[in-house]
Amino acid sequence: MLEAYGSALVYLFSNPSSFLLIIFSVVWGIAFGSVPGLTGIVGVALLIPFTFVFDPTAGLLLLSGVYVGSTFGGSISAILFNTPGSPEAACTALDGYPMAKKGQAGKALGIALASSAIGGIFGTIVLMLLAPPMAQFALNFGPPEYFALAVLGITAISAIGGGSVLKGLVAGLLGLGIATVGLDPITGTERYTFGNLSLLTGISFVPAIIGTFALAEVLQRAGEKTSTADVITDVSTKLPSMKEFLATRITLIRSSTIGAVIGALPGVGATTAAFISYSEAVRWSKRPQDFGTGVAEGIAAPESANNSAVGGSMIPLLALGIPGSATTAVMLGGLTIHGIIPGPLLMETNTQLVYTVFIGMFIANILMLIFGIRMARYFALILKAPYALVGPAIVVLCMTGVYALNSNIVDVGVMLAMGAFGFLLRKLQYPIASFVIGLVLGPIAERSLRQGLVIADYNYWEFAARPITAILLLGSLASLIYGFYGQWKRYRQVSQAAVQS
Amino acid sequence: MLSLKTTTAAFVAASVLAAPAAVAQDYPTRTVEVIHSYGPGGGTDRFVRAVAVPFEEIAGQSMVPISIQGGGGMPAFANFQQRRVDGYTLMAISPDQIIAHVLGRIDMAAFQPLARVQYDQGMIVVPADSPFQTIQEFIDHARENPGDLTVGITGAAGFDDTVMGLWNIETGAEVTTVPFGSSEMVSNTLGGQVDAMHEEYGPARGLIESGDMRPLVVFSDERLPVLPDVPTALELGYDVTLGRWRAFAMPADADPEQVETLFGLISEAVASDSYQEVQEQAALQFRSVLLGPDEFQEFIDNEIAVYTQVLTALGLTD
Amino acid sequence: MAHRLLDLAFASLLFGLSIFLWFVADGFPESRRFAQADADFWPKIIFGSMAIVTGILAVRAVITLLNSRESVKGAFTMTSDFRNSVFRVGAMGALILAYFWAFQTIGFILATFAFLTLASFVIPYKNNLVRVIFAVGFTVALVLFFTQALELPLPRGTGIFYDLNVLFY
Repeated sequence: MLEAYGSALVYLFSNPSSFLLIIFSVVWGIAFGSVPGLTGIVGVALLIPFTFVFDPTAGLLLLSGVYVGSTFGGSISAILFNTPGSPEAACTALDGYPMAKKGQAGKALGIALASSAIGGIFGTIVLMLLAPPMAQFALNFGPPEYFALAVLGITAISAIGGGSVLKGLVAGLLGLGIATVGLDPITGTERYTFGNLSLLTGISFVPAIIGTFALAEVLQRAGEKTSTADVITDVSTKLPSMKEFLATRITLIRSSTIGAVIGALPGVGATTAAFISYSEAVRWSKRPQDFGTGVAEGIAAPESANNSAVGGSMIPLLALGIPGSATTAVMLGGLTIHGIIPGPLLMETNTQLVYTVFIGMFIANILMLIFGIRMARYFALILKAPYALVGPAIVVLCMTGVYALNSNIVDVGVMLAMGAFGFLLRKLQYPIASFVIGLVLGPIAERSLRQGLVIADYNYWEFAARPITAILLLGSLASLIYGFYGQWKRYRQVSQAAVQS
Repeated sequence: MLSLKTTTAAFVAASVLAAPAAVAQDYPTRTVEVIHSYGPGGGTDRFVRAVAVPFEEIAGQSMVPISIQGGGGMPAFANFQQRRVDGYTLMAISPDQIIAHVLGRIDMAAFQPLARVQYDQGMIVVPADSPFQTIQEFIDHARENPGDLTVGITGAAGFDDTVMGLWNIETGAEVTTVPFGSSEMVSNTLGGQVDAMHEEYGPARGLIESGDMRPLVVFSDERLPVLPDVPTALELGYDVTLGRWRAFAMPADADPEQVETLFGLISEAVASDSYQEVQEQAALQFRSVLLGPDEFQEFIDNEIAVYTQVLTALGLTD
Repeated sequence: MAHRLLDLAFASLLFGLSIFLWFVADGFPESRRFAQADADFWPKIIFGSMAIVTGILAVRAVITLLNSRESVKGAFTMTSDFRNSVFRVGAMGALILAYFWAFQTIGFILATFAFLTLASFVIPYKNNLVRVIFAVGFTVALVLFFTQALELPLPRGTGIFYDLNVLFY
């Protein structure tokens, strides 16, 4: 293996242009990530024709750099405008934007960036050292395990939101319900399309997310009093101190691990990783009620997880030839054009390619940190611009991005409808976090539950009696009970205090 | 940059508007757009791009894929129909359109078939540690225990479902299909969650070459030269040869002269070395015979008949 | 107080909706192959639970309302702040809808310019020149970025606007 790294380093240093390529790809990725609607997938797909100019190794370096950059890039617009630039960053908006609104935009961006880099490097190290065993481990995850994982994430709804548990539940169920629109994943029958064929593949996730976050926020700000709507007062571009950042270390370790494992599972990617690690951050926190108001852990958890998932999702791609995410699926297509057959033999027959990409991703993460730290201050200054201009510009950018993503006007309509709905939910104090978690995890939960039942011949016991499934399901049950117990205890304390006074 | 683009665009627009009659002689005079309903970077997108490279050299005009995703392909089809019939709008079609037609969602009569370019072949593949060494053992087990074997497929009530549905009808050895996303299908088969999967040769070859998976039967007219020991379903007496194909179509009322011109250009592009190379890298060369408008129409009619039979048997049609 | 009434209305609406959707699920066509966990399996779980939870919410909202009956009187008087706020949200919403319509019919460039200019009036801001310069600049930048740099299609509108926009991208 050392030999392989040696040859990879020889390649990098004999092609100094590859460093330029990495820089370019990271910047390109950040740009794509930060524009709402334009996701990393589009960024990678648009670059594939250009990879013909290079040898396959340089081509894959380029694509993986974009992947790394775009996963962080989404958080910039999520933090500054409550507009997740990419679905992976939706979760970052939950605490990132409130923190920016408190005037600590620099701190929020700094935490997002540093967590991204740490998660990204963690994921890359896992990829470097453990790719084959991790790939084998991921094969143990069948439909029941996917289901249990989704349930684990969904049960966190009971702890999120700080307000009424019932409203949290309703918001979560609404998300789960909206996710059922479209063709049934198992039987292929139409559900809740009410004759509208444009809804066959359901409510597309990216427009739905952009609507609930960005549009709802523009509406909200339009209704606020001028003094607060005009500018966020006291925009501080101060970056977080090392101490502030290190306070999140436990969250970082937990979330990076979750990210790498979930990323390695084919079919679920960075978005799921971000939400599940956010749920876990809430669950393990001593002050879960503070989440959503701008706490550091709420940014560190999703950002380290989604970047760690980048390395994770390269594991099945390089070790087995199975793409772990939509973006790696496009990368796989790019590899094929170069005459490289992805499969278990790839790591043996194309050692130089694989190990150069490992090192390249490592460098990409470090570069992202170096450049990003300098840029974060300037990004934070955007908040000083008058909202009368920025607000409409956000609407235009969201509409354009969502339209350009699929050239599908129905998606824009979905975004608008979800914007109005998101606004309503916020006004009535239904937690958006629970709603989005339902939306993200609902399809995984339903599909895998029913796949698993078909395989187990509808025997629920056979479905659940598998080690990983059982542990995850029991864990969710325990945390659900604990969560309700905590709520009840708090409720009793409050009412006792009321009686005493 | 803008001014240059504007002037050329204005010039092109003016010449197109001014000379509709002279279209046959100098056609195409601007970019040909190919609508498809799959993601950028996906199989169909790459197919269009692979044809587009030699096409540009031959026709002197570029060809670009336009990806309109989502909505089960309906928005792409609607966009295709809304556009002007001027010979510059094509659609990349596949068995998915046939299925949508059979399920009553679109009408294949809206298309003027132009050229069928790629024709893939599927296989039943089992993981290396599967107890089934031959397809006969697989069939025997399924006959004795109907529905006991699970086969991973991609998507519900789609192409894979039709192929396996036809297999069930033809062999009478009922297997249960479990729909997955394409990458989960592979990992679930490798991990032994399902007994087998239906997959094309191209995406599966890496796992076959490494010995992690074994193909049992191939759905094609002849054995694949790269898999000489794997029997076809046809030689076992089961008429299952359905394969995924990729093709170009124009609007139904397209100018016949334009159809002819365009087919000429596309067949030249397909015959070029650059396209053939891409096709071989994707392992699609085995039975990708180019079909012209008339043969393709015949092919489509036949496909519709087969798909209708299978989808009805699956209880998916009304 | 008004928000309590709204709360009740929304919870009752969701309650009714989830019952309705439960019955819609009941009417899904049956699949012969997957009858034991069919298309209605999951939606029924979701909307069933939603009916229960929203039912509880609605009942609770009624109880709170009854307990604080006196304060209901003031429920329908609006402060001028609130009215302003509703007006601005409504104006922004209407503009966005109009933009959505114009986006498809008159094409990207004109629609975007008009929207940016008009929408900037919803939130008070004094410098009119900056408004227009920003609208022009942002529109041009977006058109260049999407059509030239990324080569992604933007809507061209219909009819005469289509021909007009073909000149630009």
